[in-house]
Amino acid sequence: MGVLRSLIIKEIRQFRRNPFMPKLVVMFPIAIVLVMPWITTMDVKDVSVGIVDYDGSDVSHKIISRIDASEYLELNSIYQDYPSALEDMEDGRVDAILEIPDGFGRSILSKPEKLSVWSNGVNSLKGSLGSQYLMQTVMQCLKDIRSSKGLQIPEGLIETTNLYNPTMDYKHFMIPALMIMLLVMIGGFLPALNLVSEKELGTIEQINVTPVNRFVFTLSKLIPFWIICFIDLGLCMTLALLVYGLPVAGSVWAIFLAAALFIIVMSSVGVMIANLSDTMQQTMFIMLFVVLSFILISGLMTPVESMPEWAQKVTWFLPPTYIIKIFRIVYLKGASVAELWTDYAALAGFAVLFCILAAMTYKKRG
Amino acid sequence: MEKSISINDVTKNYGSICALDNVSFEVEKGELFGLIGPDGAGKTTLFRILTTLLVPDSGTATVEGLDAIKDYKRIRSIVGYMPGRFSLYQDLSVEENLEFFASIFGVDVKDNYDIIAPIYSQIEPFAKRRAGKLSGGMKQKLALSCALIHRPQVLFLDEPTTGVDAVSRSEFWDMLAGLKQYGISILVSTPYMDEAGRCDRIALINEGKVLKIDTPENIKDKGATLEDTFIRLIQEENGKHDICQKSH
Repeated sequence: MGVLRSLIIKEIRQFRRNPFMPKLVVMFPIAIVLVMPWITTMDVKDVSVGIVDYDGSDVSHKIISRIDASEYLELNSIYQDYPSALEDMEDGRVDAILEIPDGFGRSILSKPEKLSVWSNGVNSLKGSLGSQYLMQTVMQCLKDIRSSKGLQIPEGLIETTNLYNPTMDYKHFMIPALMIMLLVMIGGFLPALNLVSEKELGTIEQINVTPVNRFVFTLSKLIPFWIICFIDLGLCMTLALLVYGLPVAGSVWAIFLAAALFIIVMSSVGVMIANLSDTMQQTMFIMLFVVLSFILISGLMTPVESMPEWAQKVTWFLPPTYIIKIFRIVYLKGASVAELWTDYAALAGFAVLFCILAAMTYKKRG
Repeated sequence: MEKSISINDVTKNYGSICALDNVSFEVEKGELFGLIGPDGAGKTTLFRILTTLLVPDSGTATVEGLDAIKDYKRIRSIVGYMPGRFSLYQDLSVEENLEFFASIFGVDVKDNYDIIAPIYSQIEPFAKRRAGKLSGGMKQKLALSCALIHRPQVLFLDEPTTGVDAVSRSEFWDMLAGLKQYGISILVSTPYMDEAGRCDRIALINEGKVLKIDTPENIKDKGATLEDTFIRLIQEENGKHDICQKSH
């Protein structure tokens, strides 16, 4: 224990003297909570709409004023004909075009004529979500007109209700997942770089010719980062509550338990990569590849359900999939460890597996 | 009398490059033994095998009777090693480095201060300075102090004076001579011939082969310097090599 203690004291001294690291571990959680949720939001705002009004009736004017009033839609301009609207879309000034056909106003009370919507697929997210907002706005408007005339609501009108994230605030959805980025960086990336820096600087050569056990040495590298991980996670959760009013719906301990298991996984991955590389550059590139795959395939940014089937199967083998699920459900819905035991078990399994791999990749001597 | 270091037919290849070719020699207890040879002769490879960092392809090596492969853990606690490249923590201060190495060997700096005193006292005024900010000569003194703090029985010094000024080099060898009173066996490598003269015995090594082992005085050709003798031996060796190739 005395050796581990001196090794950790050494690590803390080196950490404090590093001109960059102490700033990083403070700025990172703050950026994750204060900046990232605004950037990674999938909410589409200010969808620019162009309207081709062949009708010119009372009804079409109502639709136009409703679009103009919408929070998400922004009325760009009203066109004489479709080609001039298309021209603006080609220049990127319009995200979606609504065409109101001639005689639409008269047909509304009997058998409505078809409305047409074109969306700009260049920014597919804005185009597709934007045109959906547009259709919803128009449908709502038509519904109001018909019901004021004592008519029934047209069939097939989609009514959406959002559960668990009642305001459907994308930030609330992203914050728990972004906290996992923090664990990946501080629990995995930094210890890996720290370990390999001893190789690169040659200091490992001196340490190897001492009675210091390699396991104790590695542990001394990990423990400071584990502590930082938990402090930063607590900081993130506090900031999320203070800034966004987002409390943990479930138990805070459920979050910390999942985080602890996941940190072991990430640290082992980091140690494994550090064992296999000789330079910081190698470690950086391999780690970057791993982290990017984790972020893109594990459902942090895009829902797993909308991935192709083979990719969904790949997500089963990625540890972040489970912690992202746990964090989101515990945070937003408030599930307990018992309800999510399969996901906790999967994380624990990965922790054991990667620990073994990390131990196996350590080469004692050349 | 039991030998401090004993190397028998050690061979090590890196791919197709032969770093050590059937090397054998012994170092007596308390002896200051020099490994003299040009860059790439295999000196560092030999140090890495004796300090248990590298496993030889064939042959055996023992340090204080302990096998370099089987008993590597025990060897690591009784030897001091100073790698060719400065390997202390540059962002820790002089005293922090010394205390750190003392603590991982489980010793107290105060208890073993006598052995490092002649060396460490020279850099003690700079105890609070970061190791990375020391001059080349002071770095060597600190590295030697750290390698000695646990009272090793054998000291391995891989080119300790490379890149150090002439005065510091001379001082460094005075310190090594001073360590004789503690009975520490020292294996030291150097590319400098003037330093070879300060060893008890030397081994001339070139391209993984030991050319000659003797005291510096006996190794010299009559009327020639050590350097001239060494160059003659290498040329002779290369000549043999050429004849071999021609006969094929």
